[in-house]
Amino acid sequence: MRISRSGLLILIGILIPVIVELRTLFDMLGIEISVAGTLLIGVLAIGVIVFWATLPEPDDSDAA
Amino acid sequence: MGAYIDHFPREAKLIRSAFYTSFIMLALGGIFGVIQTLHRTDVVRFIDSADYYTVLTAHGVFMVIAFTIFFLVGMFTWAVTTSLERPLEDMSFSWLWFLMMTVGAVITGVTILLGFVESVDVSADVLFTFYAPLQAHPLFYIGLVLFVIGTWLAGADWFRSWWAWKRENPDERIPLPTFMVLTTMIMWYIATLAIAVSILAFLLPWSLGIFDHVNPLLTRTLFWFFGHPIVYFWLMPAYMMWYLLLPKFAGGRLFSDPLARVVFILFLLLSTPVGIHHQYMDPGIAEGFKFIVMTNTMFLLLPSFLTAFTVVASIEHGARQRGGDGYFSWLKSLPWREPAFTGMALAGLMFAAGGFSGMINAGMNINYLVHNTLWVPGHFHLTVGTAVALSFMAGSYWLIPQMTGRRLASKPIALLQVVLWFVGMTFMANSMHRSGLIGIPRRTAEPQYQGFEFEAALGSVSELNAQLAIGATLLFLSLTLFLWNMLITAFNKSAESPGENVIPTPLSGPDDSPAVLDNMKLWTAIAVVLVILAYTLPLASIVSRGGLLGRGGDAFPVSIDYLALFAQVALESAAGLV
Repeated sequence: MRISRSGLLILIGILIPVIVELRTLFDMLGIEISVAGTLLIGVLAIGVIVFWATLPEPDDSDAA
Repeated sequence: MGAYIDHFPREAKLIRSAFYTSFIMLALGGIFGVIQTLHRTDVVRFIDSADYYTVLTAHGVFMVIAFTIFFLVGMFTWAVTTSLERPLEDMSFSWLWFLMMTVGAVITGVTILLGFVESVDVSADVLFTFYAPLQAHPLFYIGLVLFVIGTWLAGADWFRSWWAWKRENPDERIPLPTFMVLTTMIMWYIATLAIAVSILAFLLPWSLGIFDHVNPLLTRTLFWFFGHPIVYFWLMPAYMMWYLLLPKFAGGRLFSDPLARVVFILFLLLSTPVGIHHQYMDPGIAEGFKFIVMTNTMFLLLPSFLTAFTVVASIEHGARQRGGDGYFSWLKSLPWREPAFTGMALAGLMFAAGGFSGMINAGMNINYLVHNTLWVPGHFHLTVGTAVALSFMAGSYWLIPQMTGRRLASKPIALLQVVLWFVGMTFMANSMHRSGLIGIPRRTAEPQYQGFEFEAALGSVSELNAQLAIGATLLFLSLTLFLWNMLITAFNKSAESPGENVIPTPLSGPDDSPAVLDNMKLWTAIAVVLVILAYTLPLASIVSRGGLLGRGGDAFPVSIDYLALFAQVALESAAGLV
């Protein structure tokens, strides 16, 4: 894993308010995102982060 | 140096009792919190809407008076004994104030809960803001009086420890944790004088039938005299944790002891003479007074900004000690695995958002837009509901093992709990703030937005309600995890060293600051003068207009006075021109 499981949990925890608040912000800019759309973006974003986090660490020995 | 319990076993027992009592109060407050949210949002309704105020009062009083202050007395006892390195002077006196607080809280709590029992003519549906015209049973006020006297005696206990220490160390600077306790208690003594007057001189005799009526505006003003500084009374133990424990958990030391002292002095000076900012919409208080109070309130941002700087600098120092580097990469070196650290850090982050919404509340003109809407509970759920409550829960993951010598039952669940609180509060606070912006009122059992066209700024009211209910459910789940963890820890047979009860010395120590910062008499005198300046004229005006017991003074509306004033100014201007 690229980060610890606790790190991943906190990253997801912090991502949720960012998504919730960004939806409010976008609306103020005239871009309305539905609840379903927000959920989809959230799931996708969390999925990408989980995918990245579970990738094996880059092997530094190859570079050397 | 070992764990706290190894050095102060008698004090540890007292602190444990205070913490466990606060957790019971938190559990009760949490139950009523989720009931009211699910009722209000029409997700689950099993109480009568007529009982909504009973639920609301129970949620408010159990959470922000009982939970916070019981935790505070435990925390402050830890701070004083640890930093002065001496036990309390007289344990029987210490148990006396704890007992007095407990009896007071039980009397007040039972009086509130009896509101659910129709066959008993006792109730106290007066909300946390218990001013007239809402009237409670006399037992509610008697319980509060006992509780507050208990806190006064607790403060006297800590002052006594300090005086005894000072006699033995006449040339030493006050250790920072004790300094924080003393300044906070001076603020509390000043603030509670007003509520003592309000209860003993007006509300209690009124509820006993000695007076037929009281002056509602006077009791409201006396309440807010106390009602704003109580916010800082809740907050100061959280600040104390951020200053003393967070840098330690991060692996470093507090950046600046002098800056911390300045912050606590500023709170002592500025938190009381600003209560009228809760009354911007009240008729009967001149706009000029409100404007002065608004200016004073804005000065309160300074200690909060100083805190943000000092605490973040201390955390960064800790991260760099652990090998962190770069502009932001050091964040990765912080101990995110530790629930005590993560919980407090997330609480601090949420407090920043709460501070920004607080600025909106503090501005007279913008306040008019959000006053008495759901925005206001949104704000204080970020401050007391997260900055304070989440810090207390996170701190408990370190403090309870210190007080019991037992291992924390589950660290991963503790970590999940603090993150869950953060996420739950995001949903709840976002929904509340947005609802407030479109004028949805607070303190309403059944706010109805069906059957007519009502355009929410974003989404719909049902969506906002759903978000609120999800937030409350997540928070309740988080609270259950916390209480479960504490319960198992309390009975955990696996004893494990909880680590050293040491507060690291700051990078910049007390000797880098002028000794005048420790002059408690000076700061108390200035605080009293500021309160006199801020409150004498408004209180005199309220009493002269409405009478001490109401139904006196000039006729309302006060706009007639303004018309007379404008006429006088116009005449004088005309005379000047002529």
